[in-house]
Formats: sequence, structure tokens, C-alpha cells
Amino acid sequence: MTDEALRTLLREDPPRGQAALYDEYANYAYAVIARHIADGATQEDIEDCFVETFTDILPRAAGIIGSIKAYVGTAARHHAIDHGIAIRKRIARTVPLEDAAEPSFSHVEEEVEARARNTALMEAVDALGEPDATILIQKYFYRRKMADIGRMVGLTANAAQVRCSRALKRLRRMLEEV
Amino acid sequence: MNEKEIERMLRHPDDETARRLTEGRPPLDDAAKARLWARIQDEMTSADTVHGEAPVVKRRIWPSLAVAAACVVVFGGTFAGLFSMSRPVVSPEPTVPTAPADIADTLPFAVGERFAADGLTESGTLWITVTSASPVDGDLSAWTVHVTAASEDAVPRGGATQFCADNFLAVKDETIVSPYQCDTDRPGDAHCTFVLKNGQTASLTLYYRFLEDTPSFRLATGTDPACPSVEIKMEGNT
Repeated sequence: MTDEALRTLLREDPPRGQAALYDEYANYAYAVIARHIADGATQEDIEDCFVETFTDILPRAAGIIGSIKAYVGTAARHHAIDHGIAIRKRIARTVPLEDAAEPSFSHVEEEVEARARNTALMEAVDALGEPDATILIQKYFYRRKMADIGRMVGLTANAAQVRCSRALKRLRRMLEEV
Repeated sequence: MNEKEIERMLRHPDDETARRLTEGRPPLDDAAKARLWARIQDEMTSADTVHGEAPVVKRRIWPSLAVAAACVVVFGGTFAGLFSMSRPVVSPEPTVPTAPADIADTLPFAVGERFAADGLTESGTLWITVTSASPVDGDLSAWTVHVTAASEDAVPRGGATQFCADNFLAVKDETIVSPYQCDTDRPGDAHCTFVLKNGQTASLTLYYRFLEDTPSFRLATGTDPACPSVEIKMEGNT
């Protein structure tokens, strides 16, 4: 659906327009939140942030200026940052000092190294094939629960968990050289 | 690379890797989408209800009414004949929402304020000024805020300084004066890059989301809270 069609629907029939906007951008907003929310966020954190984002966007959606996708993405990102502050505080109270990330000093070197690692990771995940690649991404990137992931790939939660552990081990073997 | 490190990288891949990994792998299946939609509708309905106040007031006043009724029965019987009801019952005044007026009063305080952003540069001072603030289409929780950055012979940290702003909706790129760029073409990203030195000035427009508990926004050189930043307070700067 184009932005213009969505805007018209939002003006003429707000409930249907809001449902259409949600349908169009739910996955996108969820992905943006998962990408920007703090490390240590749980599926509940992401879902709370997701619900808050849409509760904030939908009542004013008819008045969005410019690209609706960009608006949804920006709002999702900023809600994720807002939630991230609370999550970091929560984690700071529970994570032992020795587990905290060490400060780095060699930015350029690290960036080049990180880039190479990311490329290797991407290729290795692709090489795992399905459903293992999907299981890993759903678990670690989207932080979804095994029961939900299992339903998505047609496995029980236990079977999905076993596949996930094995996939992680295979991934480690593939990346040992990096 | 050990498993812990792999898990960390899967949680936080760089932009390109994230895009490639998630391509064709949407996070929500139909069941999850429907479940979350139901939650959103619940939230929106309860927000409307609280705004309209009727059901909430009803719930809260029932216990009071029960206690009041009991008191009337007990004391009414005891004092019957001694006192007469001489005054009519006055109904409570209708609730008038006052928040929008409060918000409208607080925002303009930042206009004209000049904020020194020393940490954003290696030398000199970068000044950030809020030049104007006005509500978007009469919606008092969303404001268009014009911000001007001016340097006094300041050299940005590490060359081009990337600005990120917390607690705002979007940067309107049309007002970024060349050679300053704003990469709003990347969905969900509203950073803008300044190359500001030798007395140059740049202006940008922010769509500011006014939140009563955080009446400020932060212009920073990165998304990490540790990055040098300047906080623009939108109230109390009288």
C-alpha cells in the first residue's frame, strides 16, 4: 500500500487505516526496535516497546508528514533508545563488574576487524541453511522465545532449542579460523 | 571466536549484516502479530477511557458511595428530626484537561537560549540555539523545533561530527544548509552530519516529541550515552 493510499484510509476510516498501517509496518518496527534496544533486552522488553511505539504512532498517524516508513522507523528507534536507558540501569544493577565490556582504544583497527567478523558471520549463518539460520536470528537478534520460534518453524520448543544449540556449535566451528 | 562472542555478534551485528541476516526473515508470524495487535488495541482503548474518565471515576467512586450511603443510614437515622437538609447537593465540577495549556506554556522557555556544546569539538565552542518552537498541526505533544548550531572557530571532533538527537521524532532535511548532510533517506535513521568550523552556522529542524517526564532533548555525537552531548532543556530556562 502506498503512503498516499494509507493516508487517505487513515483520514476516511481511522480504525481500518490504523490496522493497515500496523499490518504494513509491524515487522519493520519490531526489527528496528530489536536492532536499537539495549543488550540484555528480553522479548517482553521488545514487545512492551513495540506496543508503546504503535500506541504512540497510531492516534496521530493521519497527520504524518513525509514518508510513513521513515516516521515509524524513527519513532521505533527512539522508543527503543528510551527503553534502553531503563534496561541498562536494570542490567547495571545485576551484571558483575568483570563482565562489563572493556574500554577500547584502537578504533580503526577494531572497526576493520569487526567488519571482517561480521562478514564471516553473515556467510556462516547463510551456510547453516534453514531452519537453523532462522532459529538463530529469531533467538539472538529478535530475542524471541523458543516456543514462538518453534511454532514459526514447525517444531516443538524443545526440538527448536536442540537445533539452536547444535547450530551455534556448528557456527563456532565454522568461525574458529576468524 | 567462542560461543559467547558469536551470541553477542548475532545480537549486535553491524547495519549491513543486520540487513542481510533479517532479509526475508520477518520477526513476527501471524499469531504474534495478532497477539500484539490485541495488546495495542487494549492500550489504546484504556488510554481513551482514562482520557474520557467516566469508567475510571465510576470504579473509584463506588466504594466511596457505599461508605457514604452507610453513613447516611446511620447518622441520618440518629439525627432525623434534629437537622433538616437545607442545602442542595452540589455536583462536582466537570474535569477540564489542563495539560496541553501547561505544555504550551513551558516549551517557549528554551527559545533564544544559547547552549555551549564544548564536548562536541576539539577546540573552540559550538553554540546550539533554539530559534523557534511551534506545535505541529495543533498537536501539543509534537513540536517543530528549529535549532541553530554556530561555531566560534571550533574544530569538530574527528572531522565531521555526526549529530544524533534523543527524544525527537525526525529531522527535517530541507533546512540543513549545504555542506551539511542529513541521512534521513535511511529509514529509521535521523542522524545528521555537520562539518562546522571557522565561524560557520547550520540550522536544522527537529520534530520534537514532548514528554512531560523528559522535557529536554540531547544533541550528541553518537547514540552511545557516553558520547559528548549537549542537553537542550525545553522548560525552566527562564
